[in-house]
Amino acid sequence: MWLLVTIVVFFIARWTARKLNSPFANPLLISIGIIIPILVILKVPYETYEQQNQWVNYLLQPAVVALAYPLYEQLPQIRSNWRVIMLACGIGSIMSMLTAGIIAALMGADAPLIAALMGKSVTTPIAMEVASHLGGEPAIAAIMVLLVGVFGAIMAYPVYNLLNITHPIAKGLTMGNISHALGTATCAERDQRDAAFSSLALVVCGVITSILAPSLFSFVLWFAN
Amino acid sequence: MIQTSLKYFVSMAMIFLCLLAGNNLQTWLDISIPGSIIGMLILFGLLASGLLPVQWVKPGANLFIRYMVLLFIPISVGLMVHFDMLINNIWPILASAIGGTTIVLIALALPLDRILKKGNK
Repeated sequence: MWLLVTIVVFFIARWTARKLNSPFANPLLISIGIIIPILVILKVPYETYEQQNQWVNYLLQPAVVALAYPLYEQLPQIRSNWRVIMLACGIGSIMSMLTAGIIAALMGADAPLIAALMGKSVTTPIAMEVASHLGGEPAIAAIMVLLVGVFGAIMAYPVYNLLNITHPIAKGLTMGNISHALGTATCAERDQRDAAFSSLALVVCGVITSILAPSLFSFVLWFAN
Repeated sequence: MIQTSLKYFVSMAMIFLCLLAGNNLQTWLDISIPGSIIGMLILFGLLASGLLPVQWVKPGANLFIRYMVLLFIPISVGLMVHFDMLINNIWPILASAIGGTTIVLIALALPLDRILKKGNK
């Protein structure tokens, strides 16, 4: 029964998000904004809801594998620009994790929260995997991903204009680095070239982040103590 | 009709086989990279090398990508259990997420833009 609720709410949320067409109107945000109040009002414990939605969770892993297809579609771009792509995504991923981890640690966050924040800049399924690998809560990781996604989608272009950043590779790769799919969607509304590099960066950063996250996480914990 | 469902079946099978290979490889090598990422790299390698025709993967992969947000919903609803923790840590969270993102936005885009423009001249 709760599985059906999830599916119906998803379609309502997606329809609403398309109608509103704003970076704040995110389908995931709308969905949980509908489902959580329903569960709270009907006094349904989360465990009951989760149990009936279990097969949806199983599909998260193959969904990450499916990201190979959009990455493959960018193969011509990768071949001709692989140096700058690897450099930008490598440095960007490391900076993202270190700034997030160190700022959170300095402000007194505990290890599970830092774990949930480490993958905040990459696409949701990868961020969830990274968080649970490091002992964080995937639900919190998903919210962090959403938070930085919305922030980057709103802030990136004004900052680009302010600093006179005009090169499509610079704009796209940075957007994919900081704001994954939400940022890519914003790029797609502005310039297709930006969007191509943004979607590329979101997958490459996801891979780099998942590989480096455990060592950088240990570094942050060591640094904080 | 039969052909379409067969295409979906084959592409789903390919994705799940890569996932299985990735998960096994992760356990076997005992590394901390998630099995799903290894699976993705295997699938990408197969596609990029031309060993696996893209038509064999496209239908299933598109299905996953189109409905991916649906897959995040159940875990994200788990947020209801963690509300207190979020409220108690609101400042570290905002500082880390927004501060960190702003730093990377500027520190990455600016040098990248200048280097790329120099190379074009």
